[in-house]
Amino acid sequence: MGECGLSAERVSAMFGKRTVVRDVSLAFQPRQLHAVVGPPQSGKSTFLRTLNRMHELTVGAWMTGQVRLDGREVYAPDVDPAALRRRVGMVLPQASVLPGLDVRGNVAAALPHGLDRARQAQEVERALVRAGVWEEVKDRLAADPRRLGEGLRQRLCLARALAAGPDVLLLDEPTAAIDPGSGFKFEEALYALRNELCLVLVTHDPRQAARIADTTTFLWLGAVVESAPSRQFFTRPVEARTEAWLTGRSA
Amino acid sequence: MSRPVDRIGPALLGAALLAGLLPGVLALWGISTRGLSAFGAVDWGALAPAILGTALLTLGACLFAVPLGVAAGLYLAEYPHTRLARISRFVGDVLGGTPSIVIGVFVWGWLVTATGRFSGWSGSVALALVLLPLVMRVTEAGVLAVPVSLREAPLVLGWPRWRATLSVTLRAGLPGLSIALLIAVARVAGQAAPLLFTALGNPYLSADLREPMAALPLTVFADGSAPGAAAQDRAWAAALLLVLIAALLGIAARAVARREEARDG
Repeated sequence: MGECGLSAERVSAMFGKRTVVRDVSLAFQPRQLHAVVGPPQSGKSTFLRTLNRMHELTVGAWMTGQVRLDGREVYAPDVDPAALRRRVGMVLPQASVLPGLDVRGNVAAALPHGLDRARQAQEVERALVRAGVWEEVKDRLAADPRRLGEGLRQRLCLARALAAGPDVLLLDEPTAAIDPGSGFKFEEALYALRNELCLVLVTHDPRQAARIADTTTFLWLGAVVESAPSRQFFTRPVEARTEAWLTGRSA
Repeated sequence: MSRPVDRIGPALLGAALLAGLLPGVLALWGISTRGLSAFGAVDWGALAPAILGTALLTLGACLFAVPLGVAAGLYLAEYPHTRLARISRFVGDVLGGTPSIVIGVFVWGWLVTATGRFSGWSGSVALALVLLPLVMRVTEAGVLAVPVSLREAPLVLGWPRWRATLSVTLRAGLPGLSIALLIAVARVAGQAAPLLFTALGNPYLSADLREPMAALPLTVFADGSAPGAAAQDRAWAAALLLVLIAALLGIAARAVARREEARDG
C-alpha cells in the first residue's frame, strides 16, 4: 500500500465551453504530501477531481489529457471508475456521513465485502487510529455520527476514506468548513499519514501547505504557475506571481 | 421606526392569504356540517363497498405507480441530460397535464374494451397513470434536494453508482419523498373522472379487482346528482370521508416531517 505512481499529463478540464484547468502536468510521489494551492476559482478542486474521475460525474463536464496510475491510463475504456476510486480515495470538503449508519457503520461501509465481524471491527479500529480519532470515538462507536462535532465528523470521513485501503488519497479543502482547532488535528493526522500514502491536498490556505506539504504547486486561473519542494516554494519562489500571491499582493 | 409601507406590505400579504383560504374554509365547513349530519343518517352498509373500493383502487394504483415512478424519478435525477431522461420528462409533463377524464377514456379504450369488462384493475391502472407523473416529479425533486456532497460521499469510496443511489441518495431523500408521496396519494384517492369509464362502480361489496368496483368519488358523483335523501346522505358522507382521508394522510406527512426534524436535532 502507498506505492503509487500517479501523474497528470497535459490535463485540461472543462464545463461545457468554459475551461477551468489548462494543460496541467504533475507527478505525485508515493509517501509524500503534495499540496495544490491557489486562490478560489483557480481550478484546484476540478483538477483534483479529474484524478479519480469524479469530474466526469458533473453534467457538462469533460476533460482532455491523460491521468496515469502506475503507468496505466485511468480514462481507458476498460477501467471501472468505482474500482479506480477504491485505489484513489477522496475526502470531500463537507463532512458527509452516510445516513442510517452509526459511527462504526460509516467506517465499515468502505471496507471490502466478505470480512467477518472480528476482522471488520479490527479494520474499523485501525482506520480510526490512522485518522487520529480513535480515542475520541471509541466509546461512541454505536452513536449517530450526526451528533458529533463538524471537525470530528470530518476526521471520521478521513477514517472512512482510509478504510477503503487507497494507495492515493485526494483531499479537497478538507479543513475549509471546520474550526481551526479541528483543522490542526486533521493536519496532524495527514502529517502522520504522509509516511504511508501518496496524499494530494487542495487548499486555498498557503500556511496549511507550508506546515505539512512536502511539495507545493501553485495554480492560477487553471494553469500551473510554479511547482517546487515546499521549503523552496515558500522561501524562494521563482515566479513573481507566486511571490505576489504568497505575500498577499494579489487576490 | 418602521415606515408605513413596511406595515402595509405584510398586511396586504396576510389579507391575500385569508382571501385565498376563505373559499377552502367555507367548502370544508359546508362538507363537514352536511357530512356529519349525513354520518348519522347514512346506511353504512350501502357505503361500505365504496370505502373498500377506494382503499383497494388506491392501493392498486400505488403498487403500479410508486415503484415505477420512484425508479423513473431516480433516473431523471441521476442522469438528467440523457435523451431518455429528456423524453421521459416530456412524456411525464404531458401525462401530468392531461385531464384525468381523458386518462380514464384512454384506459377504457385500452383495457376495458380489450378485456370486455369494467374492473377494479382498470380503475387502478387509470389512477396509477394519474399518480405516475406526480411520483416521478416528487422523487426527482426529493433526490435533487439531497446535498451533492452526500450524494458523492459513497462514490468516492468506490461504491458503484446504483448502490450509492439506492443506499444513500434515496435513503437521505426518503423523509421528504414520503411526505410528498402521501400528499400525492391523497390527491389521487379522491379522483372520480379516471374511474367513470374503468371501475364504473358497484353497489355490492366486492374485493374482486376483476369485477366493477365502487369508490367514494364515484359515490359522490353518482349519488350527489341522484334524487332522494338516502342518496344525498351517501354523497355527503362519502365527500366527508374523502376529506378525512386527505386530512389523515396530511397528518401522517407532518408526523414524518416532525420525526425527521427531531432526528436531525
